[in-house]
Amino acid sequence: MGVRKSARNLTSGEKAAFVAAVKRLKAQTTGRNYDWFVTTHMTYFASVGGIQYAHRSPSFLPWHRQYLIEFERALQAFDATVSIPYWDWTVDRSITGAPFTADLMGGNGSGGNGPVTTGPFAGSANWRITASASSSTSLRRAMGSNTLPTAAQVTSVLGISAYDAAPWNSSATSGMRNRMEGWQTPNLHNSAHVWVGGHMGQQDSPNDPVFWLHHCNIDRLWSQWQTRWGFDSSRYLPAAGTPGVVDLNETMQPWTGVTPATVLDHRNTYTYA
Amino acid sequence: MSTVSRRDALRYGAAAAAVVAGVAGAQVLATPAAARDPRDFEMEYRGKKIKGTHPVTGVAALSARGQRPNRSHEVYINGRKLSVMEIELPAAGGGVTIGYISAINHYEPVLIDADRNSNGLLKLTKRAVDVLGDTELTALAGAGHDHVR
Ligand SMILES: [Cu+2]
Repeated sequence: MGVRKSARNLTSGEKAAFVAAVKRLKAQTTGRNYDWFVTTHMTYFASVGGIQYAHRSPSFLPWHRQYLIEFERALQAFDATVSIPYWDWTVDRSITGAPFTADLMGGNGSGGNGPVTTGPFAGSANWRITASASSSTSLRRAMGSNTLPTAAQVTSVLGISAYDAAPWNSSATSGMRNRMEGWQTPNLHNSAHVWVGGHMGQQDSPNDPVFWLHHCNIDRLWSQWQTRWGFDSSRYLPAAGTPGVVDLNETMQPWTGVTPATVLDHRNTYTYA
Repeated sequence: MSTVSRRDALRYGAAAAAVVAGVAGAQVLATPAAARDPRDFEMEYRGKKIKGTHPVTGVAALSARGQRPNRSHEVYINGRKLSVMEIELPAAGGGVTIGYISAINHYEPVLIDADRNSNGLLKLTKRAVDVLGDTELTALAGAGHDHVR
């Protein structure tokens, strides 16, 4: 079973192993390779067949939990010791500190808006962007245009006992999920996408490998919420019969046999340190 | 409320919607060009040609055209399409408002209306140009957001 650690606590060997596995998945030419994950995210941001699976809906959290599990498994096929690290942006708030160091994610874009110049993903020869809304073939960042969410904001979101609420979309005002996702203040998830900027702010945000570290942190925060309020299926909403969204026991495309209920308790698959 | 009438309410305020729709319809019959929304733009920004049009609204305007009206915001940067997606958001004073995102600024909605946010579409477009810098949009940026499978 994997233990997901904070990026700031990885050894240099763990960082190198994570980077190497990510690059092998990127180099894979067939099957569910890195770019499959990018295009899947682009497809599922919108509704597919009239259902909001990945964003602006209750299944935002379980869909991305499964998405990360699939990505982690793909990395583990190359190196069984690898787990996705998380970026705790309530602690690591600098554009030069963890995880944006030259031995992991690399730093800001040149000129504050251009291609990343440091680290293993700098330049298209090291990390070539192929599926994107913008024509840049190198990874870009424009960091620090807003303020990262604070620990106090995280605490306020985790203190909300209701998982989600009608109308179960980006306009829901009560419930934890829309605050965590960020269409409702205090906006945790969306803020960090905007803060990194460049590809992370685009529909093809998984092109930036820090996507996985950010979403690992979002998943960790959900896990903390579950630790407080319960891992059982009664804590996910809606339970049944809600058009256009994924109820507790409905399948989350593009996976088969995966529902919110099947991913709620992750503790036999991975834990957080 | 239908989508169109909700947009009208957003843009002009519910009370003014009926009047504006009538005037717009008359203009369409006379000169189609007059149906242009005053907020539409075509200009250069940071070396890129940007163009934005707001949806044609109002019952009279729609029927007078006799064709499927432009019902969404359209943005082009250097001639390449940037599709604009509507997102329902919690409104400041309660209720729901519509925000807009694009494939380039995907996690930061802007508000567009005829009042305080009348420059919303221009703001969205300029933000995308700021992100693009010396790069351009690809075909993926113009792809529709709703996938039917
Ligand atoms: Cu995200």
